[in-house]
Amino acid sequence: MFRFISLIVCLVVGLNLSAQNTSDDTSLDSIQFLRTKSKNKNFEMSERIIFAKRAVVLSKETSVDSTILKSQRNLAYLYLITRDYEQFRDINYKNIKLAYKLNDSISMAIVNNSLGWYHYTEQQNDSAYQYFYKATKLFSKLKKNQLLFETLINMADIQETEKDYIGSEATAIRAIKLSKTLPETEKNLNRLWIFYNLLGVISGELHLLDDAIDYHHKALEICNKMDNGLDNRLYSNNNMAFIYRKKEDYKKSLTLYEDVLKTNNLFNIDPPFYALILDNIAYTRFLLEDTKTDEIEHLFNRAYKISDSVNDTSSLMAVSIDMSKYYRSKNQMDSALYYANKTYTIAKETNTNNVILESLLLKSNLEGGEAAKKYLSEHIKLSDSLLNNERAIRNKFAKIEFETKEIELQNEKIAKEKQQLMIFSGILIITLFLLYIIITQRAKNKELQFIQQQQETNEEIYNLMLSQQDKIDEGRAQEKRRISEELHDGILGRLFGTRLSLDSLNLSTKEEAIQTRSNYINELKSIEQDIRKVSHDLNTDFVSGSGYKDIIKTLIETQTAAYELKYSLENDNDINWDDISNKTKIHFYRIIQESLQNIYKHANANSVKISFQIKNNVICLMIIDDGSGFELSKARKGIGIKNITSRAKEIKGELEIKSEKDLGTSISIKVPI
Amino acid sequence: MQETIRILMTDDHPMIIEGYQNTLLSTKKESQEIDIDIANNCDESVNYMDKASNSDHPYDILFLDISLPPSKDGKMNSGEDLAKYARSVLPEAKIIILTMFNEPYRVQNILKTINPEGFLIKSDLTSSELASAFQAILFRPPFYSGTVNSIIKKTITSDIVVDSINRKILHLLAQGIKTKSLIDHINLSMSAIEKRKKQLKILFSVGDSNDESLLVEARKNGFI
Repeated sequence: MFRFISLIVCLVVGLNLSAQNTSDDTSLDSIQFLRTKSKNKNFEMSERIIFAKRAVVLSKETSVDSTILKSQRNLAYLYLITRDYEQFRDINYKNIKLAYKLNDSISMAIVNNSLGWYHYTEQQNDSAYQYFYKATKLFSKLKKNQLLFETLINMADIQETEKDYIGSEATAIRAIKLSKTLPETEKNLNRLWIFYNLLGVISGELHLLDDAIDYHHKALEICNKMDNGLDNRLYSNNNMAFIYRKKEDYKKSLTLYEDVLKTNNLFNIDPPFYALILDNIAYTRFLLEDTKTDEIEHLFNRAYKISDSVNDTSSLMAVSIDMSKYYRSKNQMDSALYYANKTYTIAKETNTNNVILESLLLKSNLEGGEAAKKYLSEHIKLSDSLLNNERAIRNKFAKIEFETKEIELQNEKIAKEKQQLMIFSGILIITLFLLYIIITQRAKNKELQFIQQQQETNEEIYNLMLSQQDKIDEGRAQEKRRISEELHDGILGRLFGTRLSLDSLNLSTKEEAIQTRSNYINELKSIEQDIRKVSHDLNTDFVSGSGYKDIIKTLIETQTAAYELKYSLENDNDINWDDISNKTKIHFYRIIQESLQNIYKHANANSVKISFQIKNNVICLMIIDDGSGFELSKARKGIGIKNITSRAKEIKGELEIKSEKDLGTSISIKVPI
Repeated sequence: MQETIRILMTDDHPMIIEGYQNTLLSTKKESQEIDIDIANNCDESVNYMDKASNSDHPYDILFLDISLPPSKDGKMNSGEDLAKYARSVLPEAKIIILTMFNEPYRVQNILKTINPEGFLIKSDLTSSELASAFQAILFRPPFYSGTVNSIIKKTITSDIVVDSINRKILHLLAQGIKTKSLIDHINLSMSAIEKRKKQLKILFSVGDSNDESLLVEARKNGFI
């Protein structure tokens, strides 16, 4: 009964915890409402179950697993309190699947605990143990110490029942350690008492009698702390007395039993226990070789009567077997056999194996002959099978732990692999990111380099133009010097000579002198001619405008020579290149250079025609080749074309590219000046 | 008594030599016999001089132009070089420099290095002047053209004293050579040249650093 209540508490706690996840979605409101109604104790139990079932149905319509699980757990709780265990089991089987699917640890733990409890009550101890074990693992992981503590009671009990004393002891010790983290409530103290009592019983079974006494003393100390520790104290004392009897300290044992018996109103509180105490007192006195046999027999008979009247099989078995042993020693074989048979029958009925064994031994001892042999062999057979069973169960427990541990190891391994995968993908992402940065940086650098290169070429052309200008200036200066020298050395000298001669002849009137004078006058004529020539030279500006034209011509000449192209260059003489900005000239130069390169690389042309024309202050540069042409849409993205486009845009030029397959390409750029 | 005057005329323009000849022949005195050798370049001139120096009758007068085609061995580049040479091989010969150059610097340079007996500027020259110059040089040298005389006079009357290097700097600047290119022509460092230019500007009381005003002032004072 006590464990039943503790499970209910556990289920309610679990539900409240998961209720925190309640969604405020309106469609969930009705489900929530139904669940609340199902918890309302003012309704009839059957009504509450109907509400809970409807909540489950509505939840299933939402197809939200967490909602379904919550409603089903609510229903499971109602099945439990109405003790409808079959339904309770079935719904928990559904819940466990959902909980694992959702990986909802708290639900997983609680549902495991519920199923453990179900199998425990059905005495399917191995299944129960498995569920409890899983529940404890989960509770421990979730640090739900209280729930863990409560579950450990069931586990330790199962282990004790299946005679896995060492396992049970370990579980109990673990629980006792855990109890230190928990509040010292009445219920927890009671649980703690259970563990100490269990340890005492186990130690007794293992014949560690001093340890057993210690444990029972501790259990008694806990009883002192409890407000309502009377029952527990009685049980503890009884158990302690049993240990002393085992220790053959019969006097001490008897004192303890008699103390218990003195308890007020014990008979009314717990008649079978009362009967048991009577039996124990009688048997202990018999062991003490008390001579008052009638008193002993009286005690036995009373104990037998009480337990028989309340029909408590366990106390009845205990009394019967003790009486049988008593009568055997008194040589009243018939009575001894009667009680032995009685014990055997009840033990058989209740499947109490250890009692069956003991009663079989007794019977073989009492009857002798063939019957004794038969009982003995039955005893051996049963004890062997029991031993095997115990072993099998212990193995099973070990296996459950082992398997869980193995799963844990596997999980750990998976987690490790996941972590490795994460690290690996992290590194991969970082590497990719770095790679991306490097690539973009490289592209940027390339672009910068390209711009720099462009600027350098622009500068080069500019310098070329400047040097051309220098050359022109130098040429002008030279020409000036040449004219000056010609005037100074040639014409002036001759004029001077002629003047001097004429001057000298001026005085003479001789015929000869007149003749000579006319020669000098002719000389003056020839000097006139020379001066005219110099004047003409001065008038023709032999260098004006030739600079840029020459640069372009040199460019085209050298490039077409390298590309083995024929070329023609037309330059409209109306274009005054000196007045056109350097920027425009530089871009024209580069466009021509780029176009020639493109023609060489792609066009496979024989000749190229380049012309500059001017009309209405717009200079039109045309570059026409007779090459293979190209598809405009495809070539749009080529670097060459891109450069030309951007350069044309820079000088606000209007670019037009025409190309036809096998007919060549023409590029025209119209730039306003 | 007949007197033979031996003359070597060096000028690259035959017309000019013809002019000289015509003038001299038509204006010589009755007693004078004129014997003229003609050289059109430095080499010819040097040949005549060498020949004359060994003969009994060396030249009495040398007519030398300044700008002449240089000699083939590159030793003689101008009339100045020929004049120097003549001074060494024909110490008795009187030298008449006839030139188109009339810049004070060149004129002063020639006066200083050659100190010719006659210095005639072609643009000034008339045939009568040449005739009188010829006679003057023969008997009471020196004889200078009016232009040369005025240059000399200007330099003497000016309070400003300008040494030969500073004169050269002014001359080069006047020819349009830039300050930074002066080191190619003068054996001085840039800073020294700058320093001299500064001194010149103070000398000619030109406050600002404009080269143009310096040249104007120098020209006014007859240094260029």
